Amino acid sequence: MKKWGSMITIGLTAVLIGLVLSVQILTTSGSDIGGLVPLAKLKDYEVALKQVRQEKEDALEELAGLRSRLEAIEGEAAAEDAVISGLVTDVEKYKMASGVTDVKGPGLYITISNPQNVEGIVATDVITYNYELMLSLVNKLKESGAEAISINEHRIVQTTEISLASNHITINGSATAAPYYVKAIGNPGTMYNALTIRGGIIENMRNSYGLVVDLEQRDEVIVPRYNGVINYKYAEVYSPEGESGN
Amino acid sequence: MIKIGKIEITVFLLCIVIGILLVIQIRADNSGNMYVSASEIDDYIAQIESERANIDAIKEQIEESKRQLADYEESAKEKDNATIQAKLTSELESFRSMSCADAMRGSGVKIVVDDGTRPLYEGEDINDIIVHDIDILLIVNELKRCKAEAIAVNGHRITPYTSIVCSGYTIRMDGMVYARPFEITAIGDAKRMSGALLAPEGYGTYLREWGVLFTIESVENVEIPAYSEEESFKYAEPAN
Repeated sequence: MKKWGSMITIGLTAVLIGLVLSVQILTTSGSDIGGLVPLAKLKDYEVALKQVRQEKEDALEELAGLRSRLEAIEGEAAAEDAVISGLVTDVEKYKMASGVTDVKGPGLYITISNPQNVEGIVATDVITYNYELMLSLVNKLKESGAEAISINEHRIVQTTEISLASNHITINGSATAAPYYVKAIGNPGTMYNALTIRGGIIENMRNSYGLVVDLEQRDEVIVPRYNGVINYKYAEVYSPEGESGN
Repeated sequence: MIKIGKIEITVFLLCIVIGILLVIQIRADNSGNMYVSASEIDDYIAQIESERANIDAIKEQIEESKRQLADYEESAKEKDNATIQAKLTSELESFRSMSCADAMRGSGVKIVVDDGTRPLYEGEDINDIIVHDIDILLIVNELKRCKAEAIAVNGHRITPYTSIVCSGYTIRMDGMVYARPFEITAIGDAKRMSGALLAPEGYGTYLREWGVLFTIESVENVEIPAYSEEESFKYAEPAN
């Protein structure tokens, strides 16, 4: 009898250990897309991303410093030279129109996050795989008179694409991920009402895709400048006949 | 009464181990969202990589600005404004191009999109073979992804502010109305642009499968007009 008793105990213990082990393995084998990973693992990446963003901030600051020194010299020259003064004014004007100036003004601040299940876990990256919603949103903002738009601090300029590359949305060639923060400068009321009409883009995002969308009218939003450089490899400026080169 | 033997000790030790494991497990479960989907990690990796690429690009611009500054200081000694003038002129040219203030020409593609002419299947919605604003928007977006340098739709330059909207049977861009067929011209790498649109999963192929007419051809010299109006800012002002 005693022999059997201990055998059963050991047997039960073995089963328990097996269970515990399997739970443990299940929760850590999250390296496949779609599996689950412990939050702790994510923290490292969060820190790394923060560091790299800080590094970028520093680099941008250095660049801004250099640029303002250049501008100061240009300003000095402009004070004595009418040609240069005209050039400086023109450069400023077209820079602003191109989206290469930081701008501020009243506008909308839109947050778009993926639907979450009851445990607060994002099950699928709905917004990324339906990136045309973002494209459509930007189009609607432009339609309602937005003067400057950015998505996750990427300024929308003439060449800006919003596209799906593997499983990320790429904007201005940079990968970006949900949640998306869209900032638009313009008439806050007009933009808000245009987006939220019945059956409009926001309702569609919320009801058909289950996205969590939050719109906020603000007195001031700051939209950053485009930081890239466009090299024209194929296109050249020309003056069409019958018109002055301007 | 129970004789303490080797087996009992083993079981006792095992129980302790199980206890510890259970505690770890429970604590792990109780501290809120301990688990996130693995795609989030992937998101972080992609973002870190793209930020690094951004930093490299910014550093290049820093180097460029330093060179420029050295040039300026050099010319300041000689009281010569030619360097400054040359730099400003080239800057002006590139910003004029970026803001679509100048007409541009170069090699590229010409795309024609038109409503399908095939007979409808029984009960089929006519919308299946009609061109919509989102189609044009997605084609233009795809061209931008392929680094198109200038784009026009039906001869209307696509600026940073152009929206493309359906209005009844026509589309409207910057307050002007255009009707089918839609002719999209773009300056850039023709091979890349047509390759992307005609790929098996490309948007051109997709439209053709629906029955919408879609053609794309390489053109040696595409001429794209300037956008004649200047963008006026009512709400936005430079932030500094």
